[in-house]
Amino acid sequence: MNDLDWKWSFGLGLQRSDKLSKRRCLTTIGANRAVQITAACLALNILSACAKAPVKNAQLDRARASFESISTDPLVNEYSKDELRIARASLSSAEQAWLANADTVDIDHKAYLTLSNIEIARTLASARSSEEQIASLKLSQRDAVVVLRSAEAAAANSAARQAQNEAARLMAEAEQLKAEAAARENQLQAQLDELNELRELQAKSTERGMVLTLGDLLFDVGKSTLKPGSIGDIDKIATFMLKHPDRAVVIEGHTDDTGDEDFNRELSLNRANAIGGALEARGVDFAQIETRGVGEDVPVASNDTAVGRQLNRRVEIIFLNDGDTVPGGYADTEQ
Amino acid sequence: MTATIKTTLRPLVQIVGFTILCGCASTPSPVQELEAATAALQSARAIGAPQHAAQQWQVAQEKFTSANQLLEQKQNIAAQRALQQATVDAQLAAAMAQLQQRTAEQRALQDEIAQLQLRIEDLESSPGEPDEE
Repeated sequence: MNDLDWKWSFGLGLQRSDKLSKRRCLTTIGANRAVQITAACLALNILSACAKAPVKNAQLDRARASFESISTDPLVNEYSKDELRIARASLSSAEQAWLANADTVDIDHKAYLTLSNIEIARTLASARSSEEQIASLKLSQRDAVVVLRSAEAAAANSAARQAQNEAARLMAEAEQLKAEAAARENQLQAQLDELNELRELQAKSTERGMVLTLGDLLFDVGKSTLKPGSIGDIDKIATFMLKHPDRAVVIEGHTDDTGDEDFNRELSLNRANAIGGALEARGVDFAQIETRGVGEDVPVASNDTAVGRQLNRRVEIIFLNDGDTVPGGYADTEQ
Repeated sequence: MTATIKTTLRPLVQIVGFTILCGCASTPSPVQELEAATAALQSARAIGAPQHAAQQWQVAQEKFTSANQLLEQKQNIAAQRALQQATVDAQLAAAMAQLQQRTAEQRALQDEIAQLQLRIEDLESSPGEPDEE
C-alpha cells in the first residue's frame, strides 16, 4: 500500500493525500500564492479521484480470499509454483489498480485475471498430481499383471497336474480292470482246461462232480491186483493230479452182489486202495486221495443179468472241486 | 517572475501530461495481447479443450470473438482486456481438459487394477491343488 503511494508520488509528483497536500499548500507556501495553489489543488482533486480511499470491490475481495486459500494449498505449492507466482503478480496488479482508485472496470478486469490464474494454478496442480499418481498406478498395474500371470500359470499347472493325476489314476484303474479280466479269463481258461482234461479222461459230469468210472477189466476176478493193461489209465489220472495238486479225489470201489457181502466190501476197498497206491507210486500226494470200499451197496445196473453185473463191478474216481471235502452219502468203511 | 510562472505551471503541466497518458483514444492496438490470446486458444484446442472442457472453451472463444469486434470498433482498451481474459480463459480450458483426461485415465487404471486384483484373489482362493486336499 505504501509502495503504491510512493510510486504515485515519485512518478507524478503528487502528494500522498488530499489533506496533506492542502495542509502543505496552506503552511509552506506564501499566502499570496494561496489562491493559485488552491486552484491547482482543486483541479488535482477533481482529476485524481484515485487518490481517495479505495472503494470496496467485491470481485477483488473474492480474488484475495481465493488467493489466500490457494497460497497455503500444499498441492498447489508443490505442483504449480509458476502458476502461483503468476496469480500473485496478477493479484498485486489488481491491488495496485484498486489502491490507485482505478476504474471499477479495470479493477474488475484485473481481479478476473487473478481469479482465472488462481483457478489455472489449482487445476494444473490437480492434473499434475494426478499425472504422478498415474505413473505409480501404472507400476501397480504392471505388478498386478505379473502376479496375475503367475497365479494363472500356477492354476494351469495345478490343473495340468490334476489332469495328469486323474489320467494316471484312470490308467491304473484300467490296468487293474485289465489284470482282473485277464485273471478271470485265466481262471476260466484253467477251469475249462481242467474240464477238458477230465473229459479226455472220459470223466462224466454227475451230481457228485466229475466222475471217472473204471471197469472191472483192471482186476482179475476176486483179486485186487492191478492188471498191466490198466497202467495207461492210471498214468493219465496221475498226470492230471500232479498238474492239479489242489484237486482231491475219492476212489470208490464197487462190486456186484455175487458172493459174500463183507468180502465184496473188503474187495472193493482193496481195489480202491490199489489204485490209490498206484497213484501215490507216481508221485501224487496221499492227502489228495481218499479211498472207500462201497461193496455191492450202490449198483448202477441190475445184478440179474451178466451185463448189469459187469457194469456194477467198477471203481469210480470222483474228482472233487477245489476246497470240497468228501461229498459224503455213503457210510465210510475202514480204509 | 519567470520562476513564479514556472512554479505555478509545473503542477498544471503535470496534470495535462497525465490526462494525455490516460486518454483511451491514444492507446495503441493490442497486438501482443492478440497474439497471446491466439496462441493460448490454439494450444487449448491442441490439448483437447473443445471435447474435454467444452464449457470453458466456449467462454474463451466468445471472449475472443467479442475482442475482435471491439478491435474493429477501435475500442482498444476494452479489446485489450477482452483479449487478456480470453487468454486466461483459454489457459484455464486447457488446464481443465488436462485434468479431465488425467482423472479419466487415473480412474480407468484404478478400475483395471481392481479387476486384476479380483482375478488374482479368485485364482488364489480356489487353487484346486489336489496334493493339498
